Amino acid sequence: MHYIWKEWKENLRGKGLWLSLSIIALISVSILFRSTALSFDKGFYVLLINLFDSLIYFIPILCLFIGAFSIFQEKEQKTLIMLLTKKDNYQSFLWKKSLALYTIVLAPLLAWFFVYLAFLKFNFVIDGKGYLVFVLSIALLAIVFLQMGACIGSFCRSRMQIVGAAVFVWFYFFFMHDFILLSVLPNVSADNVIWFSLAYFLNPLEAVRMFLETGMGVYSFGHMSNLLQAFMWTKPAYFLIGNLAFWLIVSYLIAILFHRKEGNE
Amino acid sequence: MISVKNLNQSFGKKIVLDDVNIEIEPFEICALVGRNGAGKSTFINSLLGLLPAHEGTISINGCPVNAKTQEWKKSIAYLPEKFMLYPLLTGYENMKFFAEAIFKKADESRIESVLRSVRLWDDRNEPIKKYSKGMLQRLGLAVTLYQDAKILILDEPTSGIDPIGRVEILEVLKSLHDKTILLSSHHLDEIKQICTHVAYLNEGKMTKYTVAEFLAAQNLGGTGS
Repeated sequence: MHYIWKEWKENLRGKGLWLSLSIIALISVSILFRSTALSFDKGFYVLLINLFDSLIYFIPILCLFIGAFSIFQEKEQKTLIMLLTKKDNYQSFLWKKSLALYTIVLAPLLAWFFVYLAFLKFNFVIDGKGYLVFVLSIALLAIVFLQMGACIGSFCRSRMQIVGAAVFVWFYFFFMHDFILLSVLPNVSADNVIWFSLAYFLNPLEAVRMFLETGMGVYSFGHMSNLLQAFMWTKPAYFLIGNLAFWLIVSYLIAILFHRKEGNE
Repeated sequence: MISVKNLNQSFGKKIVLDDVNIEIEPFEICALVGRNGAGKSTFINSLLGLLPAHEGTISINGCPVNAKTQEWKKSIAYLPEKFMLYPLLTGYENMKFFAEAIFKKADESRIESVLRSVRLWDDRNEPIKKYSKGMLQRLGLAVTLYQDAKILILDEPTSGIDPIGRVEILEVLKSLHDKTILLSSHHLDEIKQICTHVAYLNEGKMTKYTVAEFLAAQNLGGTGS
């Protein structure tokens, strides 16, 4: 609890978190203005998908930076080493710090989307379940990339390394992952499509997008080809849970195995 | 209180600590002295359990230093060199956080008494980014003193501080009669003022002297034995 309290006070007085939230709020409002021409009964879904498609560019990179710099500052300020020489070890420190990061990022983010819902009510017919799926998608995306950021902050020794690693991770999930899958696509058959599916949904952006779009009824899985049926061998929610578990555990383990206790700068 | 036996540390082929043996007795104030790169930080990190010993044993207050036990951690408080704490929090909030992180619950009256002892009580509600270097160092000392550990390990506690700030830190250190202190330092005058012993690290070997012996051995104007 004291980590959450400390993290909250620091971020409340700092600029990073507020700047990130301002970007998200600005995008949300501008998408809302652009969507006023949409129909009253169906526009809600179109707006949320458009909003998600815009936020997906910002939330991962912002969360990577918030997570990474938050850990790195503990090294730079030597507070990490002071804590490690007492009760905490790196595992317990990272666990508490990660929970604190989730809380301080998600609390204002969820508060903003609660306020945003009020604006939407004036323009569209609201689907509560659909909005919940949207908010959950954004929250889970933030959690995965915060944890990856914490991992980057754990093993990097300088701010430049953090910038490089965060941009690489962002670039990988946006472009490279898909390019790699495209290159193996001609060899995908009914026999190996399950592996292709696993690789595809290993990308958090794809797992979250599928969860959101099926949750909103954009996709229907009623009449699929055998190949597509084999590709979607479980529910999108399970793909997302699996993806979340995989990246949280992998990021946590990499952070523990390769962490450095002090930063150079 | 601190017992190091046959400690060896090396990085690749470079031997940093070569068969180091030292005993630091209760209530001694021992300066850790050596040239830059002599291995002072490696020695301190070994004592803190941050760097596992390649060979040899370390015990703090009778408890072996290793990753499996945590008992030895209760006896030590460490203040690193060039620490910053949390600049956006106030002095009081920094104290409170460390108190809760280490003991789960902060003792408000103890925070007050410790902050008063380092003369920071009146500035407790200022964000520490506004503190001078000396004030920050005193706050760091307050964090270590709050832990009520028997042994303080201080890494260059007066480094980069103006003369008045240094005097203030040394005054605080002088007043700690019930502590065993190991402090790394490059300042001969402060060693003369507050230390009882010197652990001199040279080319991986460590030798313990009284301050007078050390000054004589180095031809620095002390009386040898």
